[in-house]
Amino acid sequence: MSAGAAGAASPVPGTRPAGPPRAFGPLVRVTVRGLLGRRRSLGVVLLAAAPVLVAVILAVGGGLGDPETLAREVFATLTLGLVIPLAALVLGTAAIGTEIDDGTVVYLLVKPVPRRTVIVAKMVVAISATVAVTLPATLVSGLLLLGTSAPGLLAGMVAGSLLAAVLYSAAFVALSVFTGRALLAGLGYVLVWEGLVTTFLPGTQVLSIREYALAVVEAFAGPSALPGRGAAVELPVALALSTVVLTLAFVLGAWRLGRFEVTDTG
Amino acid sequence: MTGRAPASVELVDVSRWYGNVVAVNGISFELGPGVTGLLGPNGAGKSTLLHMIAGLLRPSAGAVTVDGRATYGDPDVFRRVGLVPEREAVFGFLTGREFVRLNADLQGLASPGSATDRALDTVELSGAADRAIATYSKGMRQRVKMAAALVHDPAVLVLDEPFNGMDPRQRLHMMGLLRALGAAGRTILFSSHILEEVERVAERVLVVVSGRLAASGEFREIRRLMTDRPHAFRLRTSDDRVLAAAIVARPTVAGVALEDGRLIVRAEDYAAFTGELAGIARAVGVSIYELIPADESLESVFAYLVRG
Repeated sequence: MSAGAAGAASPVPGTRPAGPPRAFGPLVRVTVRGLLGRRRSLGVVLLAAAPVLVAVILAVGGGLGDPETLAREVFATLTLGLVIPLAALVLGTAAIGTEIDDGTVVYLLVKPVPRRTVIVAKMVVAISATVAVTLPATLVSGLLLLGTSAPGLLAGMVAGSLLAAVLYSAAFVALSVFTGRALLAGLGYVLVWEGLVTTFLPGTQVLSIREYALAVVEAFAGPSALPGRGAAVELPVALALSTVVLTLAFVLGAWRLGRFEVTDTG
Repeated sequence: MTGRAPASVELVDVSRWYGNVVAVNGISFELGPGVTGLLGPNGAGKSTLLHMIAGLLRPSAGAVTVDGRATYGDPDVFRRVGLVPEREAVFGFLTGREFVRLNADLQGLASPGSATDRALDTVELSGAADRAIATYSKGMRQRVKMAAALVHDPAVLVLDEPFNGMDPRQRLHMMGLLRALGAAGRTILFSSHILEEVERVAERVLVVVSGRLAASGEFREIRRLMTDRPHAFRLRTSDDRVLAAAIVARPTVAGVALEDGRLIVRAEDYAAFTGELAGIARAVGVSIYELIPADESLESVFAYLVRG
């Protein structure tokens, strides 16, 4: 009864091989429970209420000009520019970053479960949570400002929100596995890179999730009349790069978690 | 339940460094069924060793194997090994039962529900199993962590400072549990920086100091090494110099010094020295006001073992 292949061939009685299908559900459930139990999740819901609130004020106030322009402005600056990336950042880092911080991730890692299964479960939960919170914000604020007057634009904003929520969440989950300061790094990306650099250096817009989402909006709604609010990236390019971002987030996240080493004091 | 094949854990010339810091330095040992204590001061590299055995850390050099299979990078090893981490954090929003069940599910057990009940029973936590872990005491958290590590009935159980933060009653219970698990044929390795804890549970001891294996073997031998070492005493007397002159020639005394106005005596044989000290003092007419062991800290014990 020596080592090696013998051990592999004879599974421990009472156990059976655990594959992704069996581990996935429990991983998703515990992640969801963790998100629901955190106070910052409530903060995300409040954050998502901001575009709706702004839309209510603008709709009640009225007389501020073309509703389509208003809707685009609110969406591009507030919903897509701040609410979606920040919600994705908070939920994405909460999905795994907090577990890495407090050490509870160890209980998920000392299991015969491929690390990629852990990453996929975390991403699925982060994406679903971000979509669940931000999609209603886009839809309700859009309806308040547009009514049913511009179904193309509304559909575009919804599709763009969806894409942005998926990409930001996946990217921030992966970022959480790489650095303990994912919140800071993510804020830097959203506020400095997408907020400033891409504004002043148009060439960098091709590396901006926001631009991919805007490209999707325009595909539905047609180009914007707003100066500086047009999408800088063509739709096929945006979709191709979106696929790259999603794939990279998964591959790099799984790779890094696979090499993840737990170091304690002493 | 306990009829599983005994596991062997083997380390061959294992080192681990973090950048320029060497945490574990060329350690080799082999473990079989039973309870082994890993004793050493804080920062000696105990956690690093345990995490390498549990498959969570890659050795920088050497080989760590369980039943001949390298532990790092092989998720199947986790079926054979259970780890109780030192950090207290658990999923506080889950109940004890949900937490243990999560571990059972992730292990892919055929009947996770009954395995969960059994593990909770083993650590005597069934009564509180349906409360959120956030409401647990330190001892209960330690036990729920233990249940999580035991739920797949591992042949090897690795525990990092399992007695930390426990009150005496919880400590006793945990000690009894470890002894019983060891007697049932599991290979158990737990770390501690407290000699008495190791003494009461472990049959064998590994002493680690500064990343090196300073001593290993039966507990009695280690204990003898520790008590037979030279001891230092600090004395406060009515006349330090007279007493120093009187005792310096004694064979029980290795050296005498005056430090900061205090008489420091290094005794070769501490039992004989303390036995004859009063008589000598009386003979030279010196009163002893105070006699304090000067180096009873665990660090000095370890330091001696490393030299020895």
